[in-house]
Amino acid sequence: MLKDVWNHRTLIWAFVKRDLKGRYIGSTIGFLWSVIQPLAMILIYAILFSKIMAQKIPGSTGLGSLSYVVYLCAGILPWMTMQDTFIRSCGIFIENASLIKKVAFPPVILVAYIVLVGFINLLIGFAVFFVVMLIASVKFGAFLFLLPVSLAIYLLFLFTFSLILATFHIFFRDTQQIVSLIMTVWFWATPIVYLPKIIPDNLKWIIEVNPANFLVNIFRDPIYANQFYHWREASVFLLSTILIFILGSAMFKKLRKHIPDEI
Amino acid sequence: MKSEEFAIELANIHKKFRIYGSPLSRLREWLTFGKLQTHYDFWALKNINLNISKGEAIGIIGENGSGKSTMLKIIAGTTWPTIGEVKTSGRISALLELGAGFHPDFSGAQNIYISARLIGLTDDEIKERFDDIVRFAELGRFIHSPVRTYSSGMYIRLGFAVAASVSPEILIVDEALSVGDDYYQKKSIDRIKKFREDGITVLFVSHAMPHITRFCDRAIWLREGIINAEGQAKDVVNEYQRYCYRHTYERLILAGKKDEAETLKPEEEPILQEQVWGSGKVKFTRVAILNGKGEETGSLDLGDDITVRQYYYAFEKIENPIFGLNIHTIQGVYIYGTNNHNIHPRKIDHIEGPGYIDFKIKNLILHKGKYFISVMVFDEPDDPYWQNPLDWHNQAYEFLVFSPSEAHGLVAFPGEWSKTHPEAECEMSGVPDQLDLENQWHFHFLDSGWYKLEKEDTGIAFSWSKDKGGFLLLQSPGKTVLELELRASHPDLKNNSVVVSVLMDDEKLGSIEINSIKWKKHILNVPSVKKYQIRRLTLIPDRIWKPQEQGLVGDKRSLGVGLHTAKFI
Repeated sequence: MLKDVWNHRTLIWAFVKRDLKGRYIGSTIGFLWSVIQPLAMILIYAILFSKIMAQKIPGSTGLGSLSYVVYLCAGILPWMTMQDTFIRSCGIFIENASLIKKVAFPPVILVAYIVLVGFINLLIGFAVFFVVMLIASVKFGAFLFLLPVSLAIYLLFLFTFSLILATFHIFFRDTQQIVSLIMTVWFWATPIVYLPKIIPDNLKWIIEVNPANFLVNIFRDPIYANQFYHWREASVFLLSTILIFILGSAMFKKLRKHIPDEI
Repeated sequence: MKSEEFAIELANIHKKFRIYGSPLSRLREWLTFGKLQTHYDFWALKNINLNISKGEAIGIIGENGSGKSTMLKIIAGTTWPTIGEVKTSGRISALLELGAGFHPDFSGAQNIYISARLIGLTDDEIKERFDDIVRFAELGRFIHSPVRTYSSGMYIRLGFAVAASVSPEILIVDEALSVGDDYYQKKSIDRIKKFREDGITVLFVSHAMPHITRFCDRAIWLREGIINAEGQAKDVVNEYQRYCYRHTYERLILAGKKDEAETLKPEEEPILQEQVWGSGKVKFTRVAILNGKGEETGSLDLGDDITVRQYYYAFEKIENPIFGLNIHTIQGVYIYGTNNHNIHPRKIDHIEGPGYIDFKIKNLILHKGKYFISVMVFDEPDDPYWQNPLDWHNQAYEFLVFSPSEAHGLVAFPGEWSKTHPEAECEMSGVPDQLDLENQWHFHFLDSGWYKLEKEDTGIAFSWSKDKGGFLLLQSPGKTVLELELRASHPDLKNNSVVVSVLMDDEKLGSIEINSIKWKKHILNVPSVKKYQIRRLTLIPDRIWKPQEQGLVGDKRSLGVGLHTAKFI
């Protein structure tokens, strides 16, 4: 399956380019919109939470008045990408039914391209974020060098679950709706917007078992907390992602033959 | 033949589709780990065995839902058989859907790149073939417009051009030619012919039987998922067509549309599969076809006499037997039938034991082609379907007709052309003495200087002239006045009337001034005639108006004067 992805890399790249271009085709500034959107979001957060509402997290050094904004963005950028990608993945096989049915075409490359599009948008988001923060003279810690590692783990995670969801949606067309509902609920069940310490003690266990918290932390550790990963959480997250990837691939391989007949 | 010489090998192919009653039933089945079975299986293909040699062209025919497309998809590799094995050797290009994967917002050129990559061309190959693709698609400057602005014709042209740009070793065409206009069809057929000449294996699904017989060496008839017939393309197509006729006939009968069914070919209805049947009291032992010289032959010339000699043996004495004979074309069209009962009556007292009887057709007016003769014998009239013969040999004997010249139509009646007769009598010419465009046929007498017939909201039918419009009108003796019912529609008509010059046989009769948009009759004097004469009248308005200039976008006409009626009084 990964071989299919590799063999079709130029095609995947063509799809990615088409998707990125296609989103803003006909608009005057085109691709610039991909930069303006996250820029506007980050600027609003920055102004709102550092000046107007003056949110500051006590005890975080170096980040100054923007500490909450950094905390927020480190979590919300990967989360939003994940949410968009999962929802898009669900529909991707159905949308491209004619390709799968009429052209001898490995469906997995559709998932690969959707994931890549999401990932590129995340990179743009982070790039904008760091530029804005550097202009505001925020000083990040040395553990920022771990960010590429985080991104790599994240990419595997994104691909694994997108593939599973895309396949699942063929057989249960309610998947997309259910996913978008769950993502909304889950977003608020995860400390992204708020700090974990505001949760009452008797509900703390929710965060401790919430895998989304692990996901957010692999970004938050290098960007916000300037520390090495919570090694236990991170390794559990990585290992389970790999395990699910293996299981998901096996499931996909088994169901692959039914895909053209079911869409 | 060694297996390497096959381009495609299908061995024991079965394809099953699971049909679920509702989305919920699948969930139920999964949750009970298959213990609660709620689906039923639909076998789209059953036990298909087929070897296709390299360079062969195979046609696949059958009704909708017979499994044709599933079979092509299995060969193309977009789906898999449930049981069985597919082996293909060589690059496959499948024209299953033209323009699959086009993105509507991208230009033709951009879509060429992605679509060609989809079907497996590399970047270098695309660059190399790009110009060819654009040329074949004939899109001109539209190649840089978004595909969503294309007409459906342009869209499929581009799709075909991309698909045909692959140099395949196996080409799969699924109905891709049934779309598009004649020009596109011819062009794409030429391209496929070229593929054939290059020795490419072609698999062809079409409902257009002439395409199958023209392209394919071999044909396969799929029916409800099994191969119903296989063989020479012509034979299989013939068999399939007869089946279709009969099928339609049965359906019409079941639907109670007996009359409609009779217009089909009921004589073929019960008898197609068996060639010979009957009660057996009489048997035809041999049928010979003789030409005009009495020589036994299978081929005749146009205009020759033909004798069909039917040797029989009557096992018992049959009083007043009735012999019959039919002729069908190779397409199964019933073109001739006769008997000695009521068509070419001749009383035969009785037959017993051996004998022969001739039927002679004088001057065979059939065109070049192959024809089939059926012979039959009855012991009593059996109207109307003649279903209980003593013996019937159905389309069992064939003969060929050669005609020297080009053939058009079914039959070659003898005929000849006269010289032209300019002295024809005018009153017999059909030209009316009064023209009224309410009668659509009268439009026929208008020359090319008119726009097509229109109807006003009030129901008045009329036609607009261009810068000049002419028409024919018959003038009878005694009529000396021409009456024309005209109107104009120029926007400035109130201040500035339109003057229409009226010419008769190119000589000016006079002028008519029109200053109203309402219909009005105008009269002009004309010289009288002694005998009927066809007059050519021409109306030339002094100015025309263009609706487009008045803001009626899209109406590109240049309108002169409107004509409703004209007559001599």
